[in-house]
Amino acid sequence: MPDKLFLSRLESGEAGAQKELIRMFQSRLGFYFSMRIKGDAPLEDLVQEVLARFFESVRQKKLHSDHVVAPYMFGIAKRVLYNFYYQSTKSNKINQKLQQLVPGYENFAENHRLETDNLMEGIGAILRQLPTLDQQILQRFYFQQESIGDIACALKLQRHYVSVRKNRALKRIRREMKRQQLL
Amino acid sequence: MQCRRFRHQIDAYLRNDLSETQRQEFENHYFSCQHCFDQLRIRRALMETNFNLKPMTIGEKVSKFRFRRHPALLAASLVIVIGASIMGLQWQRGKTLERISRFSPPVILVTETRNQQAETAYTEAVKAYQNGDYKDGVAHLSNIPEPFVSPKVRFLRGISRLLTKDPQGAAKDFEAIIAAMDPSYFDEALFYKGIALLRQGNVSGAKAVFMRLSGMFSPLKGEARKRLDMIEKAF
Repeated sequence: MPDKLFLSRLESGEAGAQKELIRMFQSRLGFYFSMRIKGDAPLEDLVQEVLARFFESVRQKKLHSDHVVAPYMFGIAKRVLYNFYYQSTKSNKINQKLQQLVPGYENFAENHRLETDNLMEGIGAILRQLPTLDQQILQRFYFQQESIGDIACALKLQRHYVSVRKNRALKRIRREMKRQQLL
Repeated sequence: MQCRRFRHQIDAYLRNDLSETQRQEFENHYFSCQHCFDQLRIRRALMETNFNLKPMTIGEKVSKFRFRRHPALLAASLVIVIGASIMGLQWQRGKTLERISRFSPPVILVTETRNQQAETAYTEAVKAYQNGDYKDGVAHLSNIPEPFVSPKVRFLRGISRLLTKDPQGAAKDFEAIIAAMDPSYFDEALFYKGIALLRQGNVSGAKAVFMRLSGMFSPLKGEARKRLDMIEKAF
């Protein structure tokens, strides 16, 4: 990603650049917080807080042209997570703040739900097109949380073979999902 | 370049198997790596959802092909399989009951009885019992007229019947001793009644008897508890 150019577009307040950034990082941030916080996490608030802080930094010209966006965003996410755990200074008006910084910011929760639904539906459809053996391996490994060794033993196959089939199937799913523009 | 290193950590990250440092490195990585993030999303979706896939059995295709053509063959096979399973289960149950109800024959010595006829028969029966000829012992004891059948005689007959694979007859003898409330043979009668019930396949009855005995102040209390544990484990 040419960050210098991208940052200058963001600094000039270009709506297209802002939307691109949100599209790129929104789901990553959601994923990050969902992995880090167990139970009912206020994902929407946390994601919006990170984005708001990022845009605030851009507005205050804290970001230099040699900054790389992704690690900077990750740094903010870590601080927000820290605050969530130890300080709980979450602002209830965060959505309004982000709306001010990025006019036309769309509802995160709705986007997230739609994205997740599409992803699930797409994966389900692709999974059913895979050979039965691959379906079994993926289901056992991911849903039933069995180890490769256990799966190999249950299906009377070699561990290496199971591992190769699993990786191939995952690659195939990603390729199909890219093709169908689900990712 | 770096992506290759992180690709192997995707599953471990989702299963929370990474150390905190590795975790942070990986998180930093997927913030900038589209490939790893896509894989994360796909794998987590697979983890969280049961797509209700049909379970696969080995040789599935072959069996479908044959049985679809021959429904009668399928029905016959099912009957055989179910029958064999039931028989197998019964055999297994029988073996377990036999294991739980195993006991060493108690030592029985000749003692005096009031009735002369009863005494002769009893002495003969004890001798036969000591020689391991339990059937002969039962035959001798059956000659004693009912009014002269004391708890001592009943107990020997019960044990001998148990050893000659007549648990029903044995259970009757032990029940009679329990009903008479004879303190000399009460505990033993309870214990061997439990054994007799097990040999008849009456697990719940045996359990109740052993439970009763295990709550009593008796030298057979420990043995009753042991049998109870064995029943609990097996059924």
